[in-house]
Amino acid sequence: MTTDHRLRAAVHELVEAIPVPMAAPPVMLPTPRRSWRPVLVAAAVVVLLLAAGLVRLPAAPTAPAAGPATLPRVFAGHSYLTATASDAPAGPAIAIYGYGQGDLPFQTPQLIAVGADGRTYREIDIASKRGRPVDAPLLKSPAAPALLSPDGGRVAVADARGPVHDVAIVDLTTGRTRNHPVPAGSAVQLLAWSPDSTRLAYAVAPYRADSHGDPRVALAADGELTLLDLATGVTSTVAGQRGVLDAAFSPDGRTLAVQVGTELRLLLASGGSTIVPLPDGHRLGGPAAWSPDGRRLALVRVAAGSPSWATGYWSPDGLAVLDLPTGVSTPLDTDATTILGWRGADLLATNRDTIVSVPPTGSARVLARLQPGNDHWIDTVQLATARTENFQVRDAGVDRGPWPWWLRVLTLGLLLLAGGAVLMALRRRRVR
Amino acid sequence: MLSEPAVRGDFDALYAAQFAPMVRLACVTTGSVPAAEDVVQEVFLALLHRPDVREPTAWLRRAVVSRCTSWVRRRRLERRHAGQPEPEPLVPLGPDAIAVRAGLARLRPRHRAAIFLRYYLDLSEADIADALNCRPGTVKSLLHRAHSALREHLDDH
Repeated sequence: MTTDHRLRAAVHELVEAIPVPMAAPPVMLPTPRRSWRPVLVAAAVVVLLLAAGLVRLPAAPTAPAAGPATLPRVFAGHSYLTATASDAPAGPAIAIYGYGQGDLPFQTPQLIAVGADGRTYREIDIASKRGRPVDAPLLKSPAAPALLSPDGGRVAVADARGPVHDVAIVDLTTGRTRNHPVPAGSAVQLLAWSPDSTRLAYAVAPYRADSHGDPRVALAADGELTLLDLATGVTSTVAGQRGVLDAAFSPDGRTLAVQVGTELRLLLASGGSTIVPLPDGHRLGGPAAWSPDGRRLALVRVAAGSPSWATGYWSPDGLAVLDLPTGVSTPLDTDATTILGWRGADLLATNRDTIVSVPPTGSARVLARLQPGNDHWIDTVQLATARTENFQVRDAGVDRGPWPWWLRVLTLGLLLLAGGAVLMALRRRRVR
Repeated sequence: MLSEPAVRGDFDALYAAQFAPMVRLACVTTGSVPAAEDVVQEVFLALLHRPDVREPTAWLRRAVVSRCTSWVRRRRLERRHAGQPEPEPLVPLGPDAIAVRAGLARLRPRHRAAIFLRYYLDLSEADIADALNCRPGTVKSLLHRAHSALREHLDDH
């Protein structure tokens, strides 16, 4: 017998010796029919939730136009989901605040209006769009310069991208923007609103390419004081007032205080002007500087060693109040450097982290806080100065309005996809 | 083809014809009767869920060899960790069968399966390749190696 035969026989013997137990054939148990009900219910809930987010537009203005306004104790942080004032206007604002661009390209500048109810937030989209593009050496870039009217109903917006062609006036109640042309290729600085919010003072000068979008360089030398009457749309130039960089209307709107170089002038409606002596190293504190009783002007103390005023650059170092009848100036106890308005005898000011109330004597009291967030930085803060006298400060919540268009489009796309998937699943089930 | 309308009748006939050979194939490959029975039951159950299988016998062989190989690999790991000895033979055998069994125990599962398919089922190299899911050239190599190893054991007796 060959090895092959021996092997074959041995394999057979070995295999036949394997005891094979008899077992009944397996039975396929009926598998429970898969129910689509939970999936369909979940899909319906998702669709309802998303639809609720979509149908909230356009939102009706919710902020009260009259009555005491509310200042939020904590301002809402940066968000890309804030509705725009043009898409979903929310009425007059108590404040606007702006975010400069962060360190990353998608962290775009934003200017936000806080409604007079203290809880509605809207992005003033034209100011965000007109923000200065990122400049490599600077990296950070603010939204366009803007100025909130005293009644909080309008925002004037210039342009930080280069030469300015118009001043845009955004109506926060209707969301509409009206453009008021300026001489082509200008540098513009928004100076002050009249107390009744009907006139806007701004400075205009030929644009200088070496200014990197900062108008002060051109305006310090050639800035021409201009008044825009919003009722008629007519602009008028105030003769003999070149180099104006700051201005403030008197409470009756008949006098305009302007800072020209180191000189503070009061321009009267009748055409005359007087010069107000300023303490050394002080200058007019911006559009909200004049107190409601007309007796005081808030001043900014300029840091020692600041660059020349003639170039338009200086660093604020503190605040003071000038009593106009007596000419006495009193320094204030605060680290805030930007004047926001008045509340009785107290001056409202900000250091861009907090909004403080500064009494004539004694320490400042914190009223509200701002949150930069998302690696952004607070670039500007302004209050509706006609509404600061009796506003209340409280935690008001956050209402950012309906979703922005890109999120709506994205959601709609996802809804269509989900709907298509559900339809396909149902169809397949029917075929089975 | 095991088509759906004829499922139960065809399946029962296939089971009656192939259960024992498949258990033997599995047992030769794994060296364990209980494991072989489990593997074969699982494979038949899996076949019930596969109405698309055109050649069920060939599919069964492939599935049995594949699952037995996995079982042996897993078992080896368990033994290595548990330190368990190889199982003792169950049935008294002649000297050649004992030699072959000793030889098979030293081979890899795929070699064992190849020996079973060649010397017990008398399958062609092409069919063995189909069952082992490899090329006929690989079958030649597997058989040559297994044959040489077993012949040494036979010569020793």
